[in-house]
Amino acid sequence: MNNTSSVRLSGRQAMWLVVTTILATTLIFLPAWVAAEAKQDAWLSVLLSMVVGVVTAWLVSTLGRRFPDLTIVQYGERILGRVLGKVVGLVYAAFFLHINTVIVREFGELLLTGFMPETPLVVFIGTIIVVAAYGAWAGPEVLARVNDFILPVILFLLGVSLFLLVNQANLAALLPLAEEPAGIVRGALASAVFFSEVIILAMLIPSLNLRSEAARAGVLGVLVAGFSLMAVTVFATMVFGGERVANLTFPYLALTRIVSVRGIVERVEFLALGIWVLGGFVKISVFYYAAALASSQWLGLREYRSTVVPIGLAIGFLSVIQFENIDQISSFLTTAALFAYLPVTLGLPALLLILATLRGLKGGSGTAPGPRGADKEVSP
Amino acid sequence: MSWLRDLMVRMKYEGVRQGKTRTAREVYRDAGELQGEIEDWVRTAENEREKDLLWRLHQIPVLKNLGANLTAIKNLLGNSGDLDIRTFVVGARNPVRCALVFVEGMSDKHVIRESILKPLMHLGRQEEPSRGFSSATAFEVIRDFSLSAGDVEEVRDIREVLNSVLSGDSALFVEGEPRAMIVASKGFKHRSITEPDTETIIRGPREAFVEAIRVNTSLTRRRLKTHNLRVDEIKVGYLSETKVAVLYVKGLAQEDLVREVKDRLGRIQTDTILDSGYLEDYIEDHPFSPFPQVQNTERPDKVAAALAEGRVAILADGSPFALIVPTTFHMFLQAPEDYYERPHIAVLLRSIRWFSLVLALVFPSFYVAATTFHQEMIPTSLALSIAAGRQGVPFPAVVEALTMEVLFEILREAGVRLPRMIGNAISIVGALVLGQAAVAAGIVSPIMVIVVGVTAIASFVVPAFSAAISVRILRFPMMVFAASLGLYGVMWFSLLIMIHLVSMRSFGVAYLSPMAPLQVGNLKDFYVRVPWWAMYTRPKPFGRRDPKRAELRQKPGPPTERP
Amino acid sequence: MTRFRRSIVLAGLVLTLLLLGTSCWNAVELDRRALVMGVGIDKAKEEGKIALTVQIVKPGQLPTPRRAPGPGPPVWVVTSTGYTVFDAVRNFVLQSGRKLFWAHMVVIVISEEVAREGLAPVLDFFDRDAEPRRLSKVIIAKGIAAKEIMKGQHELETIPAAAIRDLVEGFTSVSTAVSVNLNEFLKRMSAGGVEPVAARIEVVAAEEREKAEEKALQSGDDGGMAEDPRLKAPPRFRVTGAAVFKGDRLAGWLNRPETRGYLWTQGKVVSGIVVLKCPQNEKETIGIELIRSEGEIKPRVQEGRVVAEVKVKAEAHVGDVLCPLDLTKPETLRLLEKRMNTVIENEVRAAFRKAQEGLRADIFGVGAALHRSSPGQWKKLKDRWDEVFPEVQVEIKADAKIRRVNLVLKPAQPK
Repeated sequence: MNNTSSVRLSGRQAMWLVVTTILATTLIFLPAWVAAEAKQDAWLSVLLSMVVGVVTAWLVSTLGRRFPDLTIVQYGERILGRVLGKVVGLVYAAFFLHINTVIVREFGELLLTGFMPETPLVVFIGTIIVVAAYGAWAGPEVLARVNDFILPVILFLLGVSLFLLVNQANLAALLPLAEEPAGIVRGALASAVFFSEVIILAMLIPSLNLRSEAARAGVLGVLVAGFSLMAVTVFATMVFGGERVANLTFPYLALTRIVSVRGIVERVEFLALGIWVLGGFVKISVFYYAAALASSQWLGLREYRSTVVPIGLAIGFLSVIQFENIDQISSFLTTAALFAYLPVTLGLPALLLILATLRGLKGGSGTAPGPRGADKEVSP
Repeated sequence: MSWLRDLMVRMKYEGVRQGKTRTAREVYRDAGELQGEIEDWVRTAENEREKDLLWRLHQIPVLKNLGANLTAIKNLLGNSGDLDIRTFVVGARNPVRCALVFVEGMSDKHVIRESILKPLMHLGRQEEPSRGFSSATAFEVIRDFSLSAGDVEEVRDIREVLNSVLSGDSALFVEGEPRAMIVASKGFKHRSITEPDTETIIRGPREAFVEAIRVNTSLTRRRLKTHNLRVDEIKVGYLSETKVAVLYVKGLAQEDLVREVKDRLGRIQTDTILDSGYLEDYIEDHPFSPFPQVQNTERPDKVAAALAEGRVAILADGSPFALIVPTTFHMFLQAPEDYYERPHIAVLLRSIRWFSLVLALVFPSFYVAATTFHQEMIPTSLALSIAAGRQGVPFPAVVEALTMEVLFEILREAGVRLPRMIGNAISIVGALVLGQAAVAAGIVSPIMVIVVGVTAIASFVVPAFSAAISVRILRFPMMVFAASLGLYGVMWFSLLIMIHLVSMRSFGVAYLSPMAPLQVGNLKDFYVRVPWWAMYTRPKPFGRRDPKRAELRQKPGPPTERP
Repeated sequence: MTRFRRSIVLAGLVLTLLLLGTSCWNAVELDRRALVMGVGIDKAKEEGKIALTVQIVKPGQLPTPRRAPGPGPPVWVVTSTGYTVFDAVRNFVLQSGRKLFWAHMVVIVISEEVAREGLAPVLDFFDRDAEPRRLSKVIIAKGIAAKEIMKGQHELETIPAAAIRDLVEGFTSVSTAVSVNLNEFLKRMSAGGVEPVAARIEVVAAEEREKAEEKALQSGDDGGMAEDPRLKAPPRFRVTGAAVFKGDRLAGWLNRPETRGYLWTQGKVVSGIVVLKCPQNEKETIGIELIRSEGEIKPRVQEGRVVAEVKVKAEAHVGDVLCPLDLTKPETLRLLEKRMNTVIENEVRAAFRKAQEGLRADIFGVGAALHRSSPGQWKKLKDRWDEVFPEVQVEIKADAKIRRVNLVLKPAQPK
């Protein structure tokens, strides 16, 4: 009885997933990291680094058009051959797993510092992994539907919180414009990693019902997320000033905590909490799904669901032991991640695309399994 | 006689599966050679077990011997006090013995007297041939000329005879004929059509379904007079033999949906169906979900509206509640009045209902989370008054909340089950006296009373009782999560609910559509209800076969002035 | 597969229950919280220690519909000391038995003494910790210990700290005081080319008390002194003028006209009364009520000198006229406007004189404005801005408009 709706993602849903994936957790931190380099021009950096996202989206969707039924793990093997392909596959499986450990840790850290300082970190990490496992298990279609709910809520909460800050925003804080171009570029590099998260499209394209919409979904997704991030950065700069933003751990949380409209509308940090938990869930689940799918394909399993539990345990374990404190995460994300993540999200796809074009490789599923488990219905 | 039982069971369920009862003729064809044995058995069946087996059997033929037939009937029904057998004689020259079998109370005495017995008693005068009646001619003359009742049917199976008799018709046996006549004489007392008790509205039709399925189908057909309205009936339950009707508009409802509904109904093997609620349990997609996936209503107008959207309704005899499938969640938040009043108010009312639904689910949890974890999010003056109100309250907020909510559920249950007069007294004692006393005694903070009260009222706002129930249930785990993880716990549990909701389907339709997956075109009847002239398409998941509902460009306005 | 699935669901449930079973790490009932409404920061008597004085709400004494307010203000004033602010904060537990809850704190009062030594170390706790809000007002106590301010009471507001917050926020109707919250203070402190200011609080009742004491001495009756209600009354406070900082150190004070002069340049004069002399009779006066103002500083570099052009626009009503003046004549209004311009220019000039000559602190943000308009010039001047600022030449252009004369054209005069 699946007659009444398709079990796949529409182009719009894919785009919305990309938006939430990029936006969700990034917006709480990003202004600080970018402002550390670019001061009051942080928003220009964000604008600039959208280019990275657009390029990644273009690369991935072009590859997706060549191999519509395959994920990057599978066509990597097609393009590079068995041995090298396996290496690339492992790189992606590890990448999706690792980035998720970072996100999960961030997720717990904010809840801990911002809202419930006496609760053990493990509680937040454990609970979010349980619910994200449920989401990843249910598959991209269910995630997309949940996201159909969540993204409008996130954008609404974001809009409301920024609107409430209009009375404290000082437009002059954005001047002088483009004072130090080098700083802007450094700021853009610091935020490039987040936009390259659009790489998840490489795992979602086989679940799209119109693969040709992947490019649009990716690019539009990057742009929508990018402009939202830019809005947050602009407001953070206008309210706190370029110098101070750089010193805040969670600039967006600080923004919501400082909202005060005539002393009546105050204490609205539940807006930040809402965005954080809802968006964080989608983001973590999407990467969770990508990690499970990539690793099961790498192992040649028929069902991606068989890896959901081990992946979850790995994420939980690694996210706790990997970092000692939150500063390690931010310094990792703004510096080391550039060299660890960008080659995977930008370099490898470019290489694969060049090789595929040179060798004239194309093709559908062949013998390789698609994300088949996801098409099944989920019973409660 | 296990072979016999096997045969019988197989045949019965195969018959039901195909959606029809087998006729006596087919039974004969299948089991002709067994006839003699069965005849014996009918006569000799004595112990309860054998009678029970026979009862389930399809193939008890009507015999030529009138006495044997009557014995068989008596044997099968026992000495039921309401069984009435009237024997009489037709014809004067060659009297033929006949017997009329009916159940008192199920049949209309007036019909039996005026349309069956009277013409039969007077039969001899004109139609009797000179040689008198043979049994066959008597049968045919009676059938073709003398009965003035509406519906006459010929059967050859005692089992069918009993079915008809037990549902109010009369059976006429003629000596020497291996067949019986079923004369329509149904006429039992049923409740008259009243206003719906559970779905009251201010403006709009006021009829509600009753317990008689015929009345209910007629109420529906009166609203949809199209020849395409189909009423397909099957019987479910080997004890209750409940008539279950599947209603749909042919050409509008998708065929595989209708097939799926019939299929799921046909799979039911049980003894009794006393209400459509029994059916709901058997046919829903996710039996362990706390959320209802089948809509029920006692309003024929609601059923008609659903049928016109391409959905399917299920009526069960004996139940004033129709089931409608497929059902999506937002339908539980629609009230019929949204469609009968002008559209503007529907926007406001629906947003209030959504808001109340969320409030009923999270308000106590929100209170617990905010006062025990997130005091920084409460405005200062409110925080101070809550703190002042809680002075001396011995329990933590979550215990207080759980106790009060449980107390409230007890009160509600007491109020619902008791006769109306006492129910009022209970609510006064419960709400006013207990609440007041608890606050005065310092056991409960006054704000908690407000929280519980608001939650209770909010849960009443949801038009569909069944949807309100799920919220009432989920409120309790929600409070536990709120008490252990604060707002994060509330959101966490909400996420679980959300994933559960979006992965559900009701008869192939996503449970949360058109919200998730978002279908912008179908939002015309969601938070807002656009005017009818703007709602020119049927909702996509059901009405795809014939999407156009009204002509375009019917927006009314003052007549445009001619130049 | 279904068994596998069931076992996973089961594992998830067990995990969740385990997590929940050991739960309630953060849960504290609201009435068990010690809600801090305000904090005063002084130097402790011991060398190198800080003394914090907090107002903690006593919920049991808050007036509710069912209960009359208890005697005295519903707050408990406690003092604790420590080597850092956070140390002192934690030491409160020794006296209160509960950890303090800072999320509802509305004022931070800092004694002059502490402010002179630098606020950055003192304010870090309030900036860093998740509980305090950056919306709390920063107030400097002039000539009195912050502890005494915390002990004060207010007749209209039950919670004294809230009363102090209201005093600070009330600046808008006179525009001779400033209202600065922690965020604004820190923002200015950490930005280049602009120095922070803060509200200034002082005791009002001191004079009266002296008089009463004098009277008691004259009458020679000692007992009367104790019974005089004004003597027993707690000190009353006034928020007026402004505290000027250089970096994080208190540099000095602005008086009321100087404060308004400062506010003109920032465009923050919301309302207030400008008193003018009557044209005919210099002894009689006219009160003008300000209703709107704009202020802007436009610095430029001219022949190696920084010139700050200050433009002020003001709109006003005629509030009260103490001399027979015919306001129907447009010339009269022009004349009044001209006099108003002079007043504004004088006030701004006074503020600049104090800031440039006395305090050498760029509270106006001339440097920041220069940074915005010509970043190249700023880069050159940035490092020696402290020397440049006192030499900045100020050009003031005031443009006042009287919009309404209210309900009377000519004042009623006895004939």
